[in-house]
Amino acid sequence: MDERLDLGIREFNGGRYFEAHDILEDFWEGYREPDRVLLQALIHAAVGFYHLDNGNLKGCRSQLSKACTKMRAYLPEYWDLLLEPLHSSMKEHIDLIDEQRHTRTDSLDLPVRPRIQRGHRVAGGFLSIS
Amino acid sequence: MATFITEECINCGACEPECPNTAIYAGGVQWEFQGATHDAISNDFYYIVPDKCTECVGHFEKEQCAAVCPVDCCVPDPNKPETEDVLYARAKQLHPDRAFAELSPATSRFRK
Ligand code: SF4
Ligand code: SF4
Repeated sequence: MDERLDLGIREFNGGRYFEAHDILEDFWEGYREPDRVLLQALIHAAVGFYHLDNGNLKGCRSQLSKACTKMRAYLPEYWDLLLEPLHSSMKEHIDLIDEQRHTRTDSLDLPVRPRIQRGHRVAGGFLSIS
Repeated sequence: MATFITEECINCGACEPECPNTAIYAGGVQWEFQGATHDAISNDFYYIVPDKCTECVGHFEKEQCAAVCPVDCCVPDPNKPETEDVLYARAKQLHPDRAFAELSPATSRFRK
């Protein structure tokens, strides 16, 4: 797989969401396979958390929701990406944002940001290696 | 009002060069039309000038900005739909020197 996927995920897991989106977008632009939808889902996820960092809750909610929809066909894992935990965390963020929509952005109670775990399938499950 | 850009825009700039009508501007940049300049419609995000957007009618089979936007934030304004006739007339007005062929599935999203 293209090294930009590795780099993008590293940036995402480091909380550098703008950089993550930028690298993944560069890859997505030229990638023409049908599963480019999953790359776009990862871009939506990065942009969603970027908007959250900047207090743009509406933008965050909408991007995480697009990410969830596009990711659904690739659950629970695809390539070497364990997607289920990311998907559930984004859904949790969406629900909590809805519940706390009258709360000031800087007082929101949200879970820790998800990481994109990587690994491979073994008998009986998925072995996470990062 | 044709296509517009929501606040989900990440300011990546991918859409701007794709527009056949130069209807897209970066936030804070003044827009131009028929020799006059106007204040920016948004200071924060890329924006589309409604009077210059034809939803790509006359040029392409679908909205080019939406096709390249990584975050899917170039969307039709549901409150102000425009007909193909209106959009096509606008395309001709924007490009008076260009000979437009009859609309087809390749040049209008309404024909698909
Ligand atoms: S829909 Fe087409 S004409 Fe309208 S802003 Fe986008 S690229 Fe330009
Ligand atoms: S392509 Fe989308 S995200 Fe990028 S500047 Fe244009 S509207 Fe904004």
